[in-house]
Amino acid sequence: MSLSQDPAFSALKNYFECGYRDITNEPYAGVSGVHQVGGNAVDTSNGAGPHNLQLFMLSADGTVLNCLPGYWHSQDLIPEMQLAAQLNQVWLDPKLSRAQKDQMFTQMHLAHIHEHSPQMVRRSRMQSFDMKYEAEHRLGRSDTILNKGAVQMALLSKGKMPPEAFKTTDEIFHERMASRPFVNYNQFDVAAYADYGKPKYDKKEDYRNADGQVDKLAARNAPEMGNAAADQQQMRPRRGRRGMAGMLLNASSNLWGNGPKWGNNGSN
Amino acid sequence: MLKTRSQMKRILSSLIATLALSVGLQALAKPMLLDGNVTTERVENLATQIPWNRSLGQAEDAAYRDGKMVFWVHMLGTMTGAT
Repeated sequence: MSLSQDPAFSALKNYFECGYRDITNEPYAGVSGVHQVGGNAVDTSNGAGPHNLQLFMLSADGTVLNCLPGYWHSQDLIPEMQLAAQLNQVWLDPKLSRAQKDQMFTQMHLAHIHEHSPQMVRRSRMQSFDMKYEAEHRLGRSDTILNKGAVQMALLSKGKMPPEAFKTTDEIFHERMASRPFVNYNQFDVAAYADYGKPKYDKKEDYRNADGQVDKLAARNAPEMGNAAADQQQMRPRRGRRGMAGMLLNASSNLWGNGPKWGNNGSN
Repeated sequence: MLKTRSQMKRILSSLIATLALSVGLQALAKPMLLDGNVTTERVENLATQIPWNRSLGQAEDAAYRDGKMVFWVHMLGTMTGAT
């Protein structure tokens, strides 16, 4: 787990009071294979498995300053923790009105996207199966897609999804946070916030050999945990082929989960 | 024929770049697998060096008292068990 490695580990010890909640039985939770403590682990991209893991950074009164969906590399957690600390200062500033605080929250989250290093952006590419899921299930309304035309072409040609047609996960979560200024944890809509890509995420770490290849036969009946209903819903495609073609021709431009853009007054 | 210094530098540079590329490509092709012993040690470190509250209210109270923020994790499973 990336939290166990420095620099994130030291930051947690020094600047945060830590806690966790098992979301196995929550309706928004995803599905994963069961991994025991002594099992193997693999490195993956930032934002992978958003339904299974959410990392909240809160002010002491429970106000959400930042929330990272899914797995995040240790070195990429630090800038986000620093942003949370800066937002905490804004939240606690008695000289600012609530409207001013909300506007600063939105601006600071959107601005942070442009402060991310090229390396962090590279580590934040969506998983290919998550891109495919968004294209097949939410083409007309996903806030993860940058170039709908390119995604439509890939769907029609049954080719691989072009990564450059999708936002990176670091951009996705900052945009979603920007539309949720200083919301208390108890009112935070984590189900919608952490929803992108496949509900099921599992790298089958315990069934990989030294070369990283998965023993598919052994992994076939691997135990799972999480929201089995989410997994079943994923297995039923939203539309048939004819329905998909119709949807592609009539795709609306409404975006899902979109928040205020840069420069707008985030007064929601 | 002896190569000039600049020619040798170009050859070395392209050799280094080729090696770096092959290592990089290998890293991309093969996910970095962490052995179970390593993960056990890391999880134990994480679970014992940092006190993990199970109550958000208690975490908030402690954060307020110590002037800290709260780091609250939603996860499948438990910190020291299966995840």
